[in-house]
Amino acid sequence: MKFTSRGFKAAAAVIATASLLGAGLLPAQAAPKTITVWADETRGPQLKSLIDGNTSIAPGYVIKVKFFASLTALQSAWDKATAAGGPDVLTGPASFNAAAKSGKVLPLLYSKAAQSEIPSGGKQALSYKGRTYGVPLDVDTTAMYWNTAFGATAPATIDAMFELYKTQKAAGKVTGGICAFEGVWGAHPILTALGGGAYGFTSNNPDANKVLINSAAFKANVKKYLVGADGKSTGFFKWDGCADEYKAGKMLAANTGAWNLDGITASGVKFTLGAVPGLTATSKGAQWVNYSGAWVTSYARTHGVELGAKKLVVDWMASSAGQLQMYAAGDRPPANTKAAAAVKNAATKGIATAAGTGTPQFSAWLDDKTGGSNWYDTVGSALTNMLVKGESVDTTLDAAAVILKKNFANASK
Amino acid sequence: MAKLKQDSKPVRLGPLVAKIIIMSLFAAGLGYMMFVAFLAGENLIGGVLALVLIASFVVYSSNGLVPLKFLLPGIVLLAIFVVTPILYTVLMSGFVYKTGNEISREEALTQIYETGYVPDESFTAFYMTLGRYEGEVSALLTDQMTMTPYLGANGVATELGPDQVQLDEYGTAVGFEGFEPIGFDEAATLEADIIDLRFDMGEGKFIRPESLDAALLMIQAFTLDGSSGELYDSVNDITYVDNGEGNFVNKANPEEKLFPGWRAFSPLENYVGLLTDPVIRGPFVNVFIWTFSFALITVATMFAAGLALAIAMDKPLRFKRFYKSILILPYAIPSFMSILIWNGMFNRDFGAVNQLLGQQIDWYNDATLAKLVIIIVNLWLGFPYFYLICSGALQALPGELEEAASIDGASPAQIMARIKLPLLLQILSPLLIASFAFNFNNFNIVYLLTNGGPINVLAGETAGATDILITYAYKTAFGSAEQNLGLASAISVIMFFIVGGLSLWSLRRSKVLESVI
Repeated sequence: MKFTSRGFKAAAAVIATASLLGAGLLPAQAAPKTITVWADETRGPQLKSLIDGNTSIAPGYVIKVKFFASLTALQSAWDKATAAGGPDVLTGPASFNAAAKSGKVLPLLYSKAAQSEIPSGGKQALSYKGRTYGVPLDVDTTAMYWNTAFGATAPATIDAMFELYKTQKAAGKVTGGICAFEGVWGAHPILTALGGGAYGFTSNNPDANKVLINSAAFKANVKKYLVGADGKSTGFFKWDGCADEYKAGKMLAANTGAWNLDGITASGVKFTLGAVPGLTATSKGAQWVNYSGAWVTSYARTHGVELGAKKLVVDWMASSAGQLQMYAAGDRPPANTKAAAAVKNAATKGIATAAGTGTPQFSAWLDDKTGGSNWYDTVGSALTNMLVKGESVDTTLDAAAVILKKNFANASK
Repeated sequence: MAKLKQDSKPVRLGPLVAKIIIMSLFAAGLGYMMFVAFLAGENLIGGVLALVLIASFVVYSSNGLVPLKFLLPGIVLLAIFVVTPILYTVLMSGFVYKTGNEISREEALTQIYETGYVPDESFTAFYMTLGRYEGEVSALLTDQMTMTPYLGANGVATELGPDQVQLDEYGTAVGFEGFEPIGFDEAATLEADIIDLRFDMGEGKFIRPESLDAALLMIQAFTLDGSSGELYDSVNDITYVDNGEGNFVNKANPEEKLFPGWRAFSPLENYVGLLTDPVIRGPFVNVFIWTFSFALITVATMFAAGLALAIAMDKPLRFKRFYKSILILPYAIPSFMSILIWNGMFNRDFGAVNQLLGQQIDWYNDATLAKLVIIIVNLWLGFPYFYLICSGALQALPGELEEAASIDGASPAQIMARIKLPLLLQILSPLLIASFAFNFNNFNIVYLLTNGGPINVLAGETAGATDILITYAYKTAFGSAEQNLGLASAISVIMFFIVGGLSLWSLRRSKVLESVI
């Protein structure tokens, strides 16, 4: 190897220049007590406008909001996060609570105000093995979009709706009855309207011994309304790729969330919003009530901002004042009951009211795979076997129940 | 252009300045990344960047090392983007690394302790004013229910008389003789000290800060016995032991695990699980067989179709150019678009295929039909490539062979079967092997067309009928809230060896051919 003096001089010049450039590029020592909040593309800008740069919510700390291009991008970044660049506070759907099992989020103790103002379903949705890890920010739920071309109001019972479906189908006006836009997840109110569902409750707590998927009522109603004489689907209920059929005006109703409001409106279908009718005029299907939440991550401890992050989450994000500010920025129904009561918008109040009668969605229960598969895959297979392959309703639902019992029993420990 | 004279050689100033600017920018960028990496505690990454920086200086400052000047960028990028992921995947396959076992043992223990801080039954909370007492970080605490003031100092909470403290307008203790309050800004900088404060209240209870102005009365459920390594839960009276697989488990009932667990190094566990655990082995074997079958059938059908078309197009034909253009169209359209269009065409209710057949065939809910759909669509996507290479190979065959065989009385079919096909296979076998390896990992076709389905979980299936190893690994790693990254890594390593082996074989065959030619 042969170096020339020119080479050395060039290297020296490079180092000197690099040092100068580097000195310019190196960040000034960042504020050491920055609480970094991660959010998706919708909540992120809202939070940014509310709390980015704030130093009064958690005095001694400055809040920085970072948001991602989509929920998928946020999930992906969270999956790969390390202490080096991970967030101190994470916001997103209740499914993020799965991080509690991996020790990536910290258990939270609510303030007395939060204890009284946060609904128990919200706390449970963000709990794991009896400890609460997140605070619910707002409510995610669905409603039935009734196509008013088939009547100004939706039928009062599922039986009346089924009869209407048969008539309209015979006339060639519809290809289906009710569509669950979001697949198995969105099908829950239809299952519950027919006497099924995921789990029952005892003293306001989900009961692992009450697996509803193979209840006698549900079996009977599946045979009556969903399975035709040929042993396959009557077409009354669809849960897979039926959104276009509904938007084309070929289905009586659809069950989906507010996020599809614009798309359905744009399709030209005129609709009213309500609950899926039940077996009697007074009973209704129970939609999933899910919560978006906020969590303090274990990285907050590594970053030395745990106490500040907890203050932000418990004292502001869970508070009625904080949630009303977030509502004003994003129109999401607040989870905090005091904040929800203060909301004036009728649609938002309607969704919040619906949340009160729905079934709290416990992700830990629905995602558990102890029995072999989670709730979504199990119910998806059950529906396919019964309505597509024409397999026995009783055998299929009993097999599904075996899996779900194991899942729920494990999740409830 | 101005020139400098140095070392008896003329030096051109322009290139030298350009070199210095480029190198400076490179060094500044790399130096910045190095700085950030070290600052974030990523010493390995910082070290590698430092090595790259030093190597760059050595190579590009020297008059020699000319080959390295060209090869260094490639070597560095190869090491970063190819070798490192492979080594990392191999390493990860040796860990119990899944949902519930993602962090280190120390972090898991800290988390277990954290979940073991249990508030007392009445959820006794305190207003807290932080400060210094006798030089130590301390706190004035006021019970939120009884408004009784306490001094938390030196690990003990001491009740104070109302006349000993100064109260604010809400009745909260904010001053005490010898106690110097500190503001939030200063408290925030002392968080590491504050978070570890514990003020004993007797009977195993203590006051612990929950934020910078509030604290709670708690008990600590877990204690670790350093000598035995056992973890005792005093609230539930359970003793946990390390199971050696990344979890503390109930000593009386080893099935009962305590979460979070940690990433435990167990080099063979994931591989052994693939072979012995019936829950994993069953689907893995099925997926493995289908992956081989799929790759084999795909290559065979695409080759057959491509060859047939190449033979047809080898004959005199009107509008030949037009046909040739049409034939390569599927190759020109982005494959994901074609796959999604085909996906719709095979839809049971409104798909074009069923409408043409006048049937209601449920293509995606029957395992055999779903496999057939994948092979048909993949054939559509792949035959133009084989048509092109077969056309080229056919034209490269010596015409004398066909002519001689023809004179000897061989029929066209015999010429094809006995002369052309063996020669074509010899020429194209490296490409066939490469195509096999590509389809072995053909994620897009399966994921976009069937998503691995159908799957009947009620029959105990945990992998879809059309899942191939790559989609199975993806689903294992990221398919649901319950992720198993260690197992997915093990599957990936197996795939790497299969595809790597095939590629090596293919390369060797290519060399053999080169030597023959």
